[in-house]
Amino acid sequence: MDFLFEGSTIGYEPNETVLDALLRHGHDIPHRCKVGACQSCLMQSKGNPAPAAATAGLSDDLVEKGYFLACKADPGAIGESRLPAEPPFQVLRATVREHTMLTADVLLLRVELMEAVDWRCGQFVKLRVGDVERSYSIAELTDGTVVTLHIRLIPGGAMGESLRNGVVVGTELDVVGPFGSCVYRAASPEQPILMIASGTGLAPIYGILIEALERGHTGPIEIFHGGATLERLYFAEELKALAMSRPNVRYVPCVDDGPPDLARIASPLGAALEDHPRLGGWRVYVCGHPELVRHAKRKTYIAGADLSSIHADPFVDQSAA
Amino acid sequence: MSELFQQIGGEAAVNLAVDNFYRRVLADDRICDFFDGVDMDKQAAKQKAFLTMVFGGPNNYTGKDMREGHAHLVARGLNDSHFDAVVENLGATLKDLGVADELIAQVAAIAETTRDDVLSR
Repeated sequence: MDFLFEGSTIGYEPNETVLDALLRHGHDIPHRCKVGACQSCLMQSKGNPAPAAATAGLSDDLVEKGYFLACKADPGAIGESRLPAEPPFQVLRATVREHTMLTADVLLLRVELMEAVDWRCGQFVKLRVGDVERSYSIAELTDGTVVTLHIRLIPGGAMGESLRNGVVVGTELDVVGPFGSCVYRAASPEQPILMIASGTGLAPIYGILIEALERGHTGPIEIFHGGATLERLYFAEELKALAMSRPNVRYVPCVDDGPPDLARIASPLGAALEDHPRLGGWRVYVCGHPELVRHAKRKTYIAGADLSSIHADPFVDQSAA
Repeated sequence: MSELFQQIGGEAAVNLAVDNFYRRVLADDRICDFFDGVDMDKQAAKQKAFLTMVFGGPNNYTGKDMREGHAHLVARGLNDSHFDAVVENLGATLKDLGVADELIAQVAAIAETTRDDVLSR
């Protein structure tokens, strides 16, 4: 069995992905996570549009242009492919404008890009500080130039140490983007939306929520944010205020342990399904811990949400490269 | 296309059946673990191909495909009881879709022809 890559015939084995096969033949295909999260292995197909498994997380725009993720692609379904002539993302210089700790380990970082972009909240960017690159979701985008990120600083982590100690207001760094399709769908303003997040998974959720409200979303929006304790649930006051001022917004803080009069003692997924056992017609956004995202995708689908209406953004461990 | 496939409703029936069937197997404790770690979009596509085949529709499955595709699951303990559970879910899906018992029996018979390959016997 074989497929075409830039004019060459590449033999592949059963259960091998396009990336596996190309690497095995000695081709230098950019890649990192191998699970479809970092989007480094983006390739473009000629002819057949790629199957859903190989385009999950790519914006509709990219999918239409034949882009797919080599690490998730079945060579038999792709046919002819090549590395994109020009990467479908921008690399921009940016200056740090705000560096504020929201909790003991969550940093709010605001960077001003050197030029305006049309990226969207919920998509993610890659921050480059020195030779360390990490992906973070866009929580806010102001005037097309100021990007806000919520970053969990991992003790001992390469990026965590730089951000905690070396990066301050005025520091310059590179921002690469945009990636991903975890964004608000404006075509369905009355659709009920369920949002489930763990930790800094709130970042894309918050961005999508604000955009939904700005664009006049009238359907119910329910946000379930989970953290180990109340102290870990950053932005609780902001979300409570939003819920109070908007009749269609509901915010449910969830903790593993804490005062039951202040938060739900449950996982955000458990609480969400308890309150909404039937999700037919809902749009679901789930972001954060990969295990949570995996379970949530499965359980919300079983509860009736269409696969195409479930937008998952797993925050995979980026330290192994 | 075969008469069975036509009577069940062809590709339209497959499309209606996929979500119903896939939701059932994911919610079935007897077999859901075998679907762990598999990309859901990819799996949905496989379910579609499987349903097309057992509905008597056009397909490219060979006995070898079924064997190779399930070998790693057999290694993890896949056995007759799991196969039976899948066929049971298949029947339940078809009943949900209002397919006549007689046609359901024909579909089950086609599924049965894959048992030995699926279980590497």
